[in-house]
Amino acid sequence: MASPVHVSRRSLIKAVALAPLATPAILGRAHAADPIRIGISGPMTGQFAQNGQWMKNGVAIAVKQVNDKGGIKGRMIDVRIADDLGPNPTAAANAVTKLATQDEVVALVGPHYTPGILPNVPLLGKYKIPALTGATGPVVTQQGSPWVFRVRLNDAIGADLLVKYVTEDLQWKKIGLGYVNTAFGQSGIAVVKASLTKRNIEPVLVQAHTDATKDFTSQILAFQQASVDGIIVWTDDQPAGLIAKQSKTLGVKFGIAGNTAFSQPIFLGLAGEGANGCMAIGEFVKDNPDERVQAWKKLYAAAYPGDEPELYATVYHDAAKLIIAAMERADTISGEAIQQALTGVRDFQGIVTRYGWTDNGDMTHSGIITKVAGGKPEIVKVITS
Amino acid sequence: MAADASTLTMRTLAILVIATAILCGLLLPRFLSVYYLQVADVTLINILLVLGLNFILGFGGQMSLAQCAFFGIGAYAFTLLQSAGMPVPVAAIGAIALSAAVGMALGWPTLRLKGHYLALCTLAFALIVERLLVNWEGLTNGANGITAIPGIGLAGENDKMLWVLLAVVAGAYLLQVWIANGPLGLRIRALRDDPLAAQAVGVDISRLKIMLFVISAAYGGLAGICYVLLRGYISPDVFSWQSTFSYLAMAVVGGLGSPLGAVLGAILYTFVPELLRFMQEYYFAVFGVMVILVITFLPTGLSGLVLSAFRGLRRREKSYARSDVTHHERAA
Amino acid sequence: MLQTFIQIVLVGLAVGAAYALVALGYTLIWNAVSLVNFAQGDLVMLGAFVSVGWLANRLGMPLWLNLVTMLVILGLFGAGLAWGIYHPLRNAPQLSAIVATLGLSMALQNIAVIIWGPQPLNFAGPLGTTSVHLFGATIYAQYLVILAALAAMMAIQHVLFRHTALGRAMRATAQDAEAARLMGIPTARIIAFIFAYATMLAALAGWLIAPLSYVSSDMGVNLSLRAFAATILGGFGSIPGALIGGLAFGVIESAGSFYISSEYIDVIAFGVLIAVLMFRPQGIFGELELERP
Repeated sequence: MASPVHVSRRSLIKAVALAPLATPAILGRAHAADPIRIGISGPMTGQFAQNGQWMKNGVAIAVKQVNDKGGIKGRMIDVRIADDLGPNPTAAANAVTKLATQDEVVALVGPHYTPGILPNVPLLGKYKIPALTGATGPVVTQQGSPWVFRVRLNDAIGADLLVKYVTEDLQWKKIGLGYVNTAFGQSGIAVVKASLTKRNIEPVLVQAHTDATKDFTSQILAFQQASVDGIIVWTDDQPAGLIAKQSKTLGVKFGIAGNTAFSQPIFLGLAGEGANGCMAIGEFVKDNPDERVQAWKKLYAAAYPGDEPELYATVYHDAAKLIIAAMERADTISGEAIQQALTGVRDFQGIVTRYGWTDNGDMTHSGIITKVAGGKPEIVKVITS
Repeated sequence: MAADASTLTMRTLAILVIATAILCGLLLPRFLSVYYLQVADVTLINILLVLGLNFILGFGGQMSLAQCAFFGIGAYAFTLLQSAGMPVPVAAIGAIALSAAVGMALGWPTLRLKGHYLALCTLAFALIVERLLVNWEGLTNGANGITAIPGIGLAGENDKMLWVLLAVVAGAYLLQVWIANGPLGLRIRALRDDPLAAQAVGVDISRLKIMLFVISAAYGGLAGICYVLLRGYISPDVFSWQSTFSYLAMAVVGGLGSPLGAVLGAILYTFVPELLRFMQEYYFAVFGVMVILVITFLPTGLSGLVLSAFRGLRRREKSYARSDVTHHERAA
Repeated sequence: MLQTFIQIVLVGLAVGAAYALVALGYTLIWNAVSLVNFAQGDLVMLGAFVSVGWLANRLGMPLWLNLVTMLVILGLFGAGLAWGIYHPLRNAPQLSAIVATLGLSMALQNIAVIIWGPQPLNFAGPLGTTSVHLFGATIYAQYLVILAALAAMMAIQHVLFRHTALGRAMRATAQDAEAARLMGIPTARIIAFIFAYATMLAALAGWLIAPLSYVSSDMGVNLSLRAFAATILGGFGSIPGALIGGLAFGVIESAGSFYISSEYIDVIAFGVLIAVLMFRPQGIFGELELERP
């Protein structure tokens, strides 16, 4: 019969004995390696998985181009991927930590979503890795971190440009605002409001929704009742599609303008005919007759037959190209050196736009206003801040 | 109360738990990479949340789906109190007190409700709290969350926070066992075994249930504080109402009402999927099925399995890992 | 003004009809076996995915065949639930059954992603995006389809319960399963049928609401929550309660969103629910239950 003391010692030993079994899988050993590792933090599973896929595709094409030519100073580029589930701060923190400490990447593409990258900006400084992100929330480049490089239009600029367009070009006077209740939507609409205030316009009605909202009838009718000339909406692809679709069915006459979502494939698919007439502040339209865009289309189709490039693939292709250019200019391949080189970028011609570093990390300052016609977004105006 | 040879005394258990905690603190940073240490830290916070859930769900047999709300209330309360200038200990106590108070306010009118009513009520509460955290921008900074929270200055230091979290969890664990074995424990057992009879002998089951709910809320609030200390950043997404089902799943699979079960369930839900990343797609589908299987065929859960494997070892806490814990209201 | 009001009410009724269909499922199962199926909303999702993801997208079935086939599949699945979830837990305490259905919900959502992928799917349904003009207001024609379907289901159900042997057997089982069994009613089979029927109601709701937005693996969770609230509002265990509660909750949401605040509508709606639970838990039509589990 075991005495209590015996038993406790035995179970303790058992517990300790089992622990090492777990270790082989989780030892984080550094391996000295020839390939240069860069990381992608993006949504690979979950609701936003398609966007993550596009990110991967865009980066892969750029990396393959370089590797086919012999890599960078003789070293091949190896792409590591971590799933950050999109706008999920915890998952993004995990992804970034994993890429930095397990995969030991020297540069990072993503996290793409504002709620994903925002809390992890300190991590970039801690591990000394530059991150190129397409997040558009203004706060991302307000953290004072030299490690963040934004490769898409900061909402602070984009929203202002959109407001400029609808008030000056379209002469909207009574304006309604809609936004998705996330970090992205809240900060985007805050910029819109500030921009309107600058022009002495007070929005007549402001309404919020969530990513899960499926029925916008009451909101659309409320806007109609307020007799708005148009609404400016800052939201994600799916709500954008539903808003456009339901507005059309309800037969409302006001205009709809919004963030980039209002030119994207998911929006177009959902909205159907309701997409026609919708305007967006965007950056990339695949039917842009510009020869660079057309050449990119062919390149993409060759790598992914039957598929066409959209915004994410293109932006992150440009991002990868920026990293590669930085690596070529830097004397060593390290996070710090790449970061230094990136701050030296002044007029880099990408497919989406020309990139130039400004001291808060924003690298682009121009966008395009698109309007959907016949189910496709067309460029109406190129607009620069 | 004399301890017989086959039962662990409180003191021995305390030594065991503290020793395990110290060992983990020493060994884990040696063997785990920075990334996995982070996962371990989050696992510890989840253990704390599930330990809290044990009180109301396991001991009290009442379905609470509000644990994520108390998690959020604790986290935001601590952050706001600290930013209002209060020192850490005061802010911490304030946050826990607030969570407990909210638990009291919610529990008092609702604990007379039947199982599914209470479930919905607590779920609705969790939803409301999340919405308020997102929409009340003036107070909570909305969906952007609050960054650069000073805490105790250890945000992001996964190895040092590991010690802090191990200490907190060990304490919470022992507290749960102590409560279950103390004078309250007898009344809890009576509530579990036969509420009607308990009432007949003078146990105030309403008050007991409310007390359990309040303790659950306090644990949830404490977990919120720990999260803030670990991350230095909070946003409403962390406290989404859907996450409450995860804590429930952890509690069930680990073993309802068992402190050891809370540990095992949280590890299985939080840590193990990281090791098995290649099958992550299937992992949670399997976990859902496991919840069904466990509650149907093995209500004592994993902890029941583990404890019965130690033959002849009948720790005091094991009595709470029996399926008694779900024998509250039998179908007519 | 009136026109807008009509639109708001009609939308509320249509959305509420979906809640009502799910609420009916809750009520039927509860009445029969004292089990609350927390996964009822996910059955809506399952029906929508089977219909759109498999039958429409993979097999290209014509619409009505699609509907019938999907209902049969889901009906069988429902019967399977009776056997796999309800039966092993029939003597277990309430908490266990609630937990099991929550586990089922978790499993179904993740399995849906495994089978059909993470991307939401579009579904045109019988009418696409046609709109109609009613009393001067413009609304989706699909709303009328939903309301018509609900009315049809209620009529069918009425005939079933009151005028067929099967219906009588179902009611007997719901009232007192033991007595019904002693009277020679094959209660196990009847219970399976009840589950199958409730699942089909949910699946039908999925088929009906999918064209209004899209099909995604998380569409059931929100629906579950609201339909559950509607059931309690109407009175748990009451069939008219499920119907009225569902429709009422839909209208409350729609009107509240328009006339009060779209941002805080959830807080309002669920605040109302909590108030109902505290002061009148039996809802509109329910009976005040005492110690009955």
